[in-house]
Amino acid sequence: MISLSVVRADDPPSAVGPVMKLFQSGRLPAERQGTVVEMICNRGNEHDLKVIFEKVVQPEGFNAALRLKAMSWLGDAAATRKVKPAGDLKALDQLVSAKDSALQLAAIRLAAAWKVTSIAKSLQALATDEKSSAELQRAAIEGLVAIGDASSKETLLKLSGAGRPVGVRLIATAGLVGIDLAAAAAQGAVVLKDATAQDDPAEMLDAFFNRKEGSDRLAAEIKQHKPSVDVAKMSLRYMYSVGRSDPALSSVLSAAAGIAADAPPPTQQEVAELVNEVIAKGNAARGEKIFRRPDVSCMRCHSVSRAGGQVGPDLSAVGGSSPVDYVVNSILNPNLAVKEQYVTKVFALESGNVLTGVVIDRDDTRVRIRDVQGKMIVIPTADIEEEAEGKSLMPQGLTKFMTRGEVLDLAKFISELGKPGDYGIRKTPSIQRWRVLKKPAKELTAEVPHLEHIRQFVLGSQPDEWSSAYGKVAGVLPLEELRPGKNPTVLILQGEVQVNEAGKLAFKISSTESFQAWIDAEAFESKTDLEATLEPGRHTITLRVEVSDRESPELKVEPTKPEGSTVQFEVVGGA
Amino acid sequence: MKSRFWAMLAAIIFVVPVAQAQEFTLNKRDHICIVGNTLAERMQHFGWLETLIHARFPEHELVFRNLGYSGDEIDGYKNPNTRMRSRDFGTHDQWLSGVAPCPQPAKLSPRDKDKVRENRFELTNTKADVIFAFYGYNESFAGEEGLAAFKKNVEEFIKHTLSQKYNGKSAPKLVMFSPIAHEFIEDPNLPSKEVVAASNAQLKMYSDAMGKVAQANGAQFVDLFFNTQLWAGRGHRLTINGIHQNDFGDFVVASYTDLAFFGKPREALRYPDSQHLSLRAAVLDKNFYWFNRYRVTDGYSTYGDRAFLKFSEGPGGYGDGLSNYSVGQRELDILDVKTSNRDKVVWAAAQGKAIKADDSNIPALIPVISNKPGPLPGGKHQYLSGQESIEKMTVHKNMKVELFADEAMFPELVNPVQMAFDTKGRLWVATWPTYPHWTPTDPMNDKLLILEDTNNDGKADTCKTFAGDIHNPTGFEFWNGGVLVAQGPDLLFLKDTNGDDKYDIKERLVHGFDTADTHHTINSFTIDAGGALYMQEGTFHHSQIETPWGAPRRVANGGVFRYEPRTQKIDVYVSFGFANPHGHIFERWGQDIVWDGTGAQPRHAILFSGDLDYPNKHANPPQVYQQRTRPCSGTEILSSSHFPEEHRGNILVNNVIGFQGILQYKLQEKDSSFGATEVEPIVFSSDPNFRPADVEVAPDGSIYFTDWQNTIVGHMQHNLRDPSRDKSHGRVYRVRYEGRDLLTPIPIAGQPIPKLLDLLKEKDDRVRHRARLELSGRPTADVIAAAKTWIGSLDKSDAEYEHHVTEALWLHQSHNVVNEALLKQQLRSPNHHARTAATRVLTYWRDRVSKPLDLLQVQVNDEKSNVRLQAIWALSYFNGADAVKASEIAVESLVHDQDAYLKFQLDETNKTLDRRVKALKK
Repeated sequence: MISLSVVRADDPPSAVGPVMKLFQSGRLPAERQGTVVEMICNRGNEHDLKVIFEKVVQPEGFNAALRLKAMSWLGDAAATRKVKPAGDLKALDQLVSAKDSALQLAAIRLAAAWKVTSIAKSLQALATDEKSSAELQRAAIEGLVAIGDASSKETLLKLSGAGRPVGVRLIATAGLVGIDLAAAAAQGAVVLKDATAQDDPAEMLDAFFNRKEGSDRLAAEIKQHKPSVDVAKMSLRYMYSVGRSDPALSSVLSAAAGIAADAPPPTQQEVAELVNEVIAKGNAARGEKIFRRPDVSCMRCHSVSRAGGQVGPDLSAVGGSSPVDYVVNSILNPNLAVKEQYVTKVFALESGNVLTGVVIDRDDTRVRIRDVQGKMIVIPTADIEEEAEGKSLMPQGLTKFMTRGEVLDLAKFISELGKPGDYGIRKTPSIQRWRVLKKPAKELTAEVPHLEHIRQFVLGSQPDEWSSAYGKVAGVLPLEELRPGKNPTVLILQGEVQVNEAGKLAFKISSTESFQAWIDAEAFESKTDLEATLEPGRHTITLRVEVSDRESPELKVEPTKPEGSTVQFEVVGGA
Repeated sequence: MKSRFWAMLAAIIFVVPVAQAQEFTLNKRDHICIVGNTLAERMQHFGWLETLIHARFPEHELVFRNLGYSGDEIDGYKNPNTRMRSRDFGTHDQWLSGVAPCPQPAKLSPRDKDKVRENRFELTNTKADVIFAFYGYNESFAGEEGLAAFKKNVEEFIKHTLSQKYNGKSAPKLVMFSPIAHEFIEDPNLPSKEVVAASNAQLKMYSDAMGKVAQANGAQFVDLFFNTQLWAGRGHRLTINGIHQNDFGDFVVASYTDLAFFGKPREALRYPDSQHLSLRAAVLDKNFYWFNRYRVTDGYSTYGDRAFLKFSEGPGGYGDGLSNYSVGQRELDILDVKTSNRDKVVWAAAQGKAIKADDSNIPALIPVISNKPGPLPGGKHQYLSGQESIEKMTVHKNMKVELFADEAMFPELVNPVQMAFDTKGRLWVATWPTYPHWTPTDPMNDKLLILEDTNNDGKADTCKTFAGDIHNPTGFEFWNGGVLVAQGPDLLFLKDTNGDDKYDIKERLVHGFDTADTHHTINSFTIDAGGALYMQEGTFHHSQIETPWGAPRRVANGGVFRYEPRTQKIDVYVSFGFANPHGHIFERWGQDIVWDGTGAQPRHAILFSGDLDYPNKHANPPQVYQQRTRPCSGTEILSSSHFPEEHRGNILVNNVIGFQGILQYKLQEKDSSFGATEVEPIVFSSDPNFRPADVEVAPDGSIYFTDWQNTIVGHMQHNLRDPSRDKSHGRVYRVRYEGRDLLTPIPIAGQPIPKLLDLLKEKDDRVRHRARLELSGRPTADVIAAAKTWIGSLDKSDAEYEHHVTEALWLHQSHNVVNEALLKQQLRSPNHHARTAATRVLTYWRDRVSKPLDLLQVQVNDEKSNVRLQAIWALSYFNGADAVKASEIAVESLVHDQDAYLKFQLDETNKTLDRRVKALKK
């Protein structure tokens, strides 16, 4: 563990001297304060951070939003650069017990980053208090992990043990991994055994994956405490979807799930046979459905026509350049060859954690990687013990959940992508990445909402209230995928366009279902051709679709530039 | 060479300091390896030292192997940062001993069995008995402060070397050579007398130190510094740029070494040494094969990580068939054997006999079976004719594609990789038949062709071969009446002096561009309005380049170089973790966009071209637009009065997989940077072999583009020598707008300077570009004098007045004439684009204008964010004590409105300045 720096007389002078001067000069407009505070937190020494910290704890120091941000930046400085404010940090205690829950949360996180041991007691109380919000409980547990002393560990053991809700036990076990791997593995296996299909073990599994020998230790314990078939399957699926095929864990989970153990990568002979079968029997239309299946999770990482995950390569053109066997090999044996921009690195950290991802960039203080979930992770250079070339992020065992026929169809579909025909590169734009409102308010579903409700519940919503859905290669969004069991009957969908030059933009809507549409806050009835004059910036088209019981309800929206319009736009894609 | 050199030079000039007159002996059949920096590397291309020593020992049958490498330093045998190489190039000791195992034997396939050697250097014939080591130039930039470390490094190097048995039997004999003196060249564009004197003071210090340490540690020492400096002011140039020897300089170095070794000249030394011309020719022929072996291009696929990709034999992809390794190593065997065969020719020549090299003993190439055979007999692929291919194209509304040239008209038009129009309006095309690199049993015949349409029917009717013996011409650009051509690891200058449209001057100008992957080797040559040439290289590469302007420039795993051909300044312009950058454009106010070709990501160059100190790299800046296809092979700005005005300034982006065509984007200002939106593509094709490689607006206003026309383009998806890599097709097309007349090409070549200056007012970017090229070859004094008159004659009420004046400023920059008054005028121009452009010029003139930081302080507080963005960029270029002030000024930008680009830029500049301030405080 690297110790945090202490103030010494010969410390180098501040790197943010000029910024600090500006900060304290009064010349700085209020709206620019944030940028400057961030800069000081990013590069300042302990004395600079002290100035910021003092502002944070003064009631009139910063406005509420900036205070929260400053606390998070101070936390980053401790994590990435190992610098914390000079002097006494006890003043933080008062914020840990703040009434404002956001502030309280930020304070707990900061206390954890600074390892302010004096708050361990309050953290233990918050973590074990069943009335604490999940977020607060989680932060308290993370704080205990960071402090990591004997009594914190004791609390974590208690929280991960029988008698607590499984959700809490999973989080507590995840925390325990960093402190005592053996104990965590023992607790973890039992939690999995007690878990049901309603519990999500992802976070706990991640903790084991990111730890040296973590998954092996867990596997050994699982041998003693078998989870249910459902939980074993779910864990396996999750494991593959994040690109892990750790043999020991994969094998015990497969045994528990009643699935065949990992097959070795196919021989060339087998690949050749598969290739022939793909060409002879593969069905691209069926393959596209498999590609889109959540349990196969292709689209978590891959996009087509820019819509979908951004972790792996966009596959829009892959069939145009890659022969079928390349596709088959890429699915069954993804480590054979990795294109230069997807080469992964594995970082072993001093803490014992092991992180894998594609390097975004690096400088002398930190490396930024993108992990298999598309999440950016900042790794302090000082924490890196070893760096090695990693394997492909493409999971190896996914096909275990597929029949041979499904593998053939999937390979066929992928090898058709980009070839002229039904799966060629889209020449006319359509909305490919849709947002789906997860739990639409009844004001939106019960009847056609008036504009105020659109403003409040749609345009005023938070990003995490939406999930993503992606159009098929031909531009059509199959609505039945969005309502398993034909529920709900009303969907609120949203597409986005980026307008770069103002002008008239038309949307052509083809739908098997009845719908209402809004471009930003302008309502259109069930017209199939809408037109609006849009200013530069991001714009939304929102659809309220009443889905009938017909065979395959679907929808397609194509933005076009009307004759004579000056508009310049692009459809927004992404994950 | 001029006849006045036909003189006895040796006795007058060379002095052997007493301490150095030590007898030097060689044994029969000794192997002599030359190691060191560019001085050593260039020796193999002139060959005088080898020639004189062979002549001295005609019966000795000596073996020379030159292992010189641009940018190397003396501690490189143990320090990967001062001897940068791509993966598994081979260590210093492996090369000297001729022993290196296969780097990843476990990855070989059953088919590779019995095809590869256990020792991949077995046939190199290095096994040094004697080592000539040339170091010290690059190290000398550490000055007095670095001297102690240098002495220690020399001592450790000598001890290390003398403790080895590279020949397997005994410690080598080691000769340490000092650097040559920095030659002062009477040229306002090269380092001044004062700078050269300071450089020589350091070189003397390092040379003396090297001599003392060598003597104390049992190595011989040859003081090249002492003797080369005696030539100063005698009217004979020894170097091309002050530091890198020319042919005569190489002769001087060789002659002096001969004298230092053997006490007195064997005979009167003359230049050129007519007695040994055939011996020298034999040495150079041998060195040609050796150089192409030692510096084999595509090294990453010959011994590096991609050497171990294995492919299926027959339809498929990867498989258990041959690897790149066995195929590539066999070619190295051939080169090794050919080199050794030529040792014999050298020995014969030394003995006065003329024999021809006998290559009957070379091993056979390993035949590769395609993993993508075509449907035709013999696995051949079906190719449409150049004309038929047009039917497969979907063309932009109102546009029309016409065939300009193809392989049926000119069989030499094969694999066109880059093209450009010269000032006579003729199309030059670099062709690459040896792609992905030369096979040692074939002729080395990559070309620069000149295609001309002399009867104006829209089709080429003549095709001249300007150069027919070059290698991997991944980029070229016109300069000063000649052409700068990539021939990794070198940058060449070719010039035709007698008007027959064939080059007769060929000079290796710059060394050290890595070639680990020829797809990643310096490409997308682009000259900016200020006369600097930009070249891009991709990941895997480790380049180190020496310059008379300072310590070697180093970059690993992706970058863009900026080279000023007039001053020979070279710098790493962008250091960024690119996969493989391809495509670079400058818009009319001098802002540029660089594409990462592999992923086709466009980035505004200003965001990642702020100054950095090696090995730091830039963070990932926001993109100009979100690309929808990949990969990008080349780019251009559509600036042509032939097309309707709505197209002006659009970016053309070639894409070669999936979408095979030319995309069109509308470029827009966005905050302090750029955004872009896709509009209707210019053209795309359903012909799977259609691969638009380069694109440029022609003098008649139409868009020309080349078609690489190949069934496979992937580097890693097929064996490097897959027979399906086509070597017989190549096309040039043009796109015109129907219903609008083509433009009448404006005469540029040979026009008087005032006419050329008026062309700088033209709306179409390429017209101004070609006028600038023409002006680059005119005498500076005439150009600058005319420019002064021209500026005075400009109409101030012209809406484009500020752009015209900016062109005048760029013209000064291009001729390396600082005009402070003009610069200051433009820094405060009423037009913010002009202020931004001037801020960039100021950065490159910062060492020659008074108080540059005060000027930048004004720019950083400009009301326009574009100017502030450029000013923050500019501040990253300040060093030493100025870094402190620069960082204070940069922060002032925070008083003004912010956006994501400004924030990113300030972070990047601050990182650089922080590091420098911290280093200062140590």
